[in-house]
Amino acid sequence: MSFFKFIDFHTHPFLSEDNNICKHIESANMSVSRTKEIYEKLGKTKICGSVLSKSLLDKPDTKWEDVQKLNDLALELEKTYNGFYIPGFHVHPKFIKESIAEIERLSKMGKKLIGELEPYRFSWGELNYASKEFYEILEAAEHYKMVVSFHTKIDDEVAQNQIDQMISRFKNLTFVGGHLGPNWIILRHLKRFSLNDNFLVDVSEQGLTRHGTLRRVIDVGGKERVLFGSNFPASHPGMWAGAVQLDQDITDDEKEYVFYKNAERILGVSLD
Amino acid sequence: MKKYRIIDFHTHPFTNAYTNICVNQGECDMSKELSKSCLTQLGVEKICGSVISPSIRKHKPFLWEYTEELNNMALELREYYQGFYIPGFHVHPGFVKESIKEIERMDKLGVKIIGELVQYMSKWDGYNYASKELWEILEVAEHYGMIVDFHSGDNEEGMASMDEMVKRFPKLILVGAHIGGDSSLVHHVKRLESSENYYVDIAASGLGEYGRLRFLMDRFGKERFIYGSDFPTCNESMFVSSLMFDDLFSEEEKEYVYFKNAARLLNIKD
Ligand SMILES: [Zn+2]
Ligand SMILES: [Zn+2]
Repeated sequence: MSFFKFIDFHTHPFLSEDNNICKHIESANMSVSRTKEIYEKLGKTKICGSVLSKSLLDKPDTKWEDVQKLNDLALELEKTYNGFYIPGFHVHPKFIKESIAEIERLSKMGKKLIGELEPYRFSWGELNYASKEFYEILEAAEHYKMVVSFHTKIDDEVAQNQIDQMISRFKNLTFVGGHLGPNWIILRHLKRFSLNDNFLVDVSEQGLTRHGTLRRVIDVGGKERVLFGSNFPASHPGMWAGAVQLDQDITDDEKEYVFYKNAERILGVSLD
Repeated sequence: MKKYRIIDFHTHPFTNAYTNICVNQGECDMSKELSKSCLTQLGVEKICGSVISPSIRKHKPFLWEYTEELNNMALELREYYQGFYIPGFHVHPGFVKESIKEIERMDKLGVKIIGELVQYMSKWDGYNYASKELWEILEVAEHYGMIVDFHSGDNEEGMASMDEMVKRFPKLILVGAHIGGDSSLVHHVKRLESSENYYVDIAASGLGEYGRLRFLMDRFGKERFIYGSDFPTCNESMFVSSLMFDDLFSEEEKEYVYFKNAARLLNIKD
């Protein structure tokens, strides 16, 4: 069924069970090769995103080695998937020097995507998106023209304000807010479109679930500021892709931008 | 794309802003007419469900009339939609006598579905699904062979009260609406085990978790799960896409969930 054509901007591909954030791994019949098969059945597709580790969630002090190991796994998967997967990398505000060196290393390899960053999985502790430690890293990211995808579904006004501060401070850096979220966070995203012209959102997870949300986000941000994302393997990409494709309030032209044209533009890649 | 025959068991049709629960209604074109064309284009042949209003809670004092008004709107919409909409109506444990009378009235009018009952939106203050007042009403519902669809997302105490209800009424067809989160899943499993007449409608939350419905169907088979979208609060195109593009489900399973299970319960012939 070659029905869709999209770049899934928000995924977390996995090698081991520790990397797999699906809650029903056994029922969902998952493996490294199956991931590609699932997408191939949907159509012409590519995926992006960072590799995660469930065991880090319970560790109070993430070490730089843990972070870099996931980045190396992403590179390994990139090889395995041979053009299907565009890797995303982690940086960490507790490890400024290492993070900047990592940006340099990856930039030399032609990589462009940082994230999705998920602070709660990597014990950022007191540090946050508006910390000066993180800003130092973002300066390097800006210098190397990286795209920064970051988790935004944080149920806390203070954290939402920190996101606003970060994207206002780095107006030349391309940011992608991961997930639309519940309605009150969507309203924050809508305001962010005017804080930074290079701020985009991806439609993964909660938010797209509501009737009319995509229409509303495009009406405010424009068709060039919204990226398709599914949060695979937590979710099935077909359900999210169908939500966009079958939405009768969205034009075909808008669908093309959401599905792949915007990702192609910001990452400098081509789906074809 | 293959089109499936679909009965959307969980919707909340509306007549105006008072009964339209879509948070983005200012952003998109919405009307009775458009609801139908938008759903039929996706393959939906019939919709079911209750008319609800989030504003109803604000009434002080809270009278039975407010609930009855929604039920009457459902009857009006049935008239308007001419066979496309199978109405569901509300009962209320705060009004036992009135609710029983309402079941009798609706039975005479050929209405078979109670619900979706949405306790948090309907001012059930002090009552839950294990309240003896509700059980009095459910005895009558059972007598008339009604199907009861209820909002199954709640705190632990609320969900435990639903477990008790399902256990107490093994002959009544009870449908828990929404698969829901991790804790909700545990309660669904318990209820599916305790009554053969317990079903789950898969509208809204929970279906997005990859593999969750597969997990349930592996344990309980293809006949206990009913398609629903929770339109217009939820995105009908997303929920229609849930099984359609997922190769974890066989064509036969998709047909049961999208159509056959609801058709069987509602006595809809092809
Ligand atoms: Zn994510
Ligand atoms: Zn509902």
